[in-house]
Amino acid sequence: MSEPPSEPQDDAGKKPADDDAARRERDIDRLARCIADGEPLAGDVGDTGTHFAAFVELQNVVDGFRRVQQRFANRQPAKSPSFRFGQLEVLDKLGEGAQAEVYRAYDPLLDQCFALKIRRIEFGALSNDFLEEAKHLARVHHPNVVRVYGAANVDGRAGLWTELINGQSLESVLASTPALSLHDAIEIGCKLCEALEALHTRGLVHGDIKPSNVMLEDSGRVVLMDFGAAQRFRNSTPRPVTLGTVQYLAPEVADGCASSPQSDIYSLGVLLFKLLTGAYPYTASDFEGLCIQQSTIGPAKLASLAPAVPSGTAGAIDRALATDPQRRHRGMSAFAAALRPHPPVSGMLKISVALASVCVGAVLAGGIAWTVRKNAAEESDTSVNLVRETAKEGREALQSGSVLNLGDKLAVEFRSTYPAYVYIFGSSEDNKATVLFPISGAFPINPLAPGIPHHIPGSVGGQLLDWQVVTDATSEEVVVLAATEPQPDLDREIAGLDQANMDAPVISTLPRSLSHLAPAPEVLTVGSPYLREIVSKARQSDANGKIRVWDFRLPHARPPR
Amino acid sequence: MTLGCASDDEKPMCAEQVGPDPAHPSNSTAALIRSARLGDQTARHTLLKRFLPLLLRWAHGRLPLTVRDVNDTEDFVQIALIKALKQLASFNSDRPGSFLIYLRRILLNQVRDEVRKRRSRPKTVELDESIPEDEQGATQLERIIGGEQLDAYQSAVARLPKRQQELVIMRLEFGLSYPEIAAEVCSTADAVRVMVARAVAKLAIELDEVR
Repeated sequence: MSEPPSEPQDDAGKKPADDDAARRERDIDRLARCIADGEPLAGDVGDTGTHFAAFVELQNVVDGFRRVQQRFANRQPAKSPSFRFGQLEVLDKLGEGAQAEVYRAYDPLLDQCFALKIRRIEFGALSNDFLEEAKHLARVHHPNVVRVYGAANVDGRAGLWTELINGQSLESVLASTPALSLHDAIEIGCKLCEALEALHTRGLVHGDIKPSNVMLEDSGRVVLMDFGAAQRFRNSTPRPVTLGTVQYLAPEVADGCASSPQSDIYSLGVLLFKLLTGAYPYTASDFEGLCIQQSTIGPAKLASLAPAVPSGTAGAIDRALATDPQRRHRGMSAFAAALRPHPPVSGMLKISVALASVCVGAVLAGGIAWTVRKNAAEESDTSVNLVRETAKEGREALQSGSVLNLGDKLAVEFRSTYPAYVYIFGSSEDNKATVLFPISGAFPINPLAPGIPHHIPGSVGGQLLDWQVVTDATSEEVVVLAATEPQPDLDREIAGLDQANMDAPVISTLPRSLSHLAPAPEVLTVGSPYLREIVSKARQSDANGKIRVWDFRLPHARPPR
Repeated sequence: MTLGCASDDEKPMCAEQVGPDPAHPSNSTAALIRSARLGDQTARHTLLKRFLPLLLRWAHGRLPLTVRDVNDTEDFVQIALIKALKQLASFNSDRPGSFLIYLRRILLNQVRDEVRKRRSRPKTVELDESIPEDEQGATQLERIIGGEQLDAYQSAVARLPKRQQELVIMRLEFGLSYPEIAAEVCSTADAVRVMVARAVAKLAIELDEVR
């Protein structure tokens, strides 16, 4: 009896289908181990079919569990105190420097944990200086400045306690990432400008700005820490330069002058240079070499190391690094304004930015019909709705031609039957494109899980975000691209563009529901030349025709005469 | 019954919270339950000390935002735990590791009652003004994760075999380390790590089913 014909096998004698199944099993196992071990899901999603979305969702749930536990840990001492410092029960050591040690400490009266910094006993003679730090900090109330809760001298040891920040220092971030995205670097830079502005207006300078003194809280808050080198800049005398950190020392401070707001601007410039390029503006790593380079060759130009950074931002950082303090920015607010590629909005509109979440900074061109590139095979597998959040009527679906008003909050409701890589851009007839999605630090991230509705731009810390129209231009245009595969060209494009500006998020309590797209014309006509270029590039790299594009053109309401 | 903590490279993070060394046979949860059932008050107290911190941490984000005072939460959890320990007779599983899940189920029911009670309560001046009005009955977890996702997760967990439910809950919800779980389920940390990963894989597949 002859044997039945066998199924086709590969060279190794295994069935291709078996290989696929084994690979899928391995990918599922790898993702499961990531979640079980508390590690982020690996960037390569592997071949897990539709289950990848479930892993992403599961990780979101597990992250929620961990964040709640972390908050709880901050309120409740997790272990017995190792010793007491005044009324504080000192729990565990968080870190140590040359002159002080930092502990997590619990105050039973306030039922709160704090970061307690205790001066090393051998530096007892400098306790007065140490306690000065507490006085400096106590004068400053700013969300981006660590908050001090108390100071004391206990048994000859000086200590001060501040809020406990859950997160990581910029130094830790840079240890794993050589350079940050443009958006993140600018956001951090602007927040630090605000924090330092608050200090300077009170007659204080920080004097030791560097990555290890900047914390990124898990919530995304940027917090300026460690005011050990802070001092009043009016009538102040120079301190030994060893108090600062060599690479961040302004030339005049290296020459023996006292720290000043201008030297803080310089140090922040170095920090931003480092964040964007991974390098320092001077190659010398020792004090002597640095002094020589500062007085002879001048700092490297940022654009030479990071050509993708917009010229305005690069120029702002270069200016902060000027050897002559008088050639630097006039103040921190001027530095912040120069850092942002586009000056944002008028004073009145800033209020609405603060109340809303993510701003559509760009102003978009007028148009009539919204159009979509049709792909018959995928017509019903993706649903995209641009919606306006209204207090009275909930969510209102917008179509091209819908009139926008200043202050309108917009979002995209997205759903697909496949893991989707989504990119959303906004633009105007005058301005370059702005990246509306993906947004650093927000959830969800690409690829979006299939089969569930997504509110885009997403959420930060569980709080839903929206884009808000904050300029009173003539019209706006929004282009949505969705692909079944990663789009490295688009990711590169994003790096060179401005991102939607995230301020205080608002919680959306509106119902989550989706409707499918209305029938659409078959021809795509993107109005903005900047958006047209992006779409064109995306299509050029899309050999398989798997990118889908939606275009919305929305005129603004005319202001009353 | 022997309890093992095979790997020395990952020490239990919550050793103080869990009370006397649970890896010692006489201190194992199963042994303490047996003693407590026979009226041993010390064993009952040890169980209380062992599980109160875990349950407190677990319940923290699950109570409505209006129950924000630590003392309120502690009272709530402590009362639930004391009640559960008084009803040890109704806990009839001898499978190691299942006691924590039994306590979690009791507490979860009480939390749900509390959430329901708060949501149906007429708005009064007791409302916390720092919380949006329509979120007065919400829990921290619901705000962070989203109610729908949390429900889907719960449903998916319920579809797992009992042993996998226990592993997933101990690891993901209670945040126990592998050696701590190993001590609870009488296994080794390495074996637990593999078992948890398998349970998580199954959980993701079930999550796909319930969505």
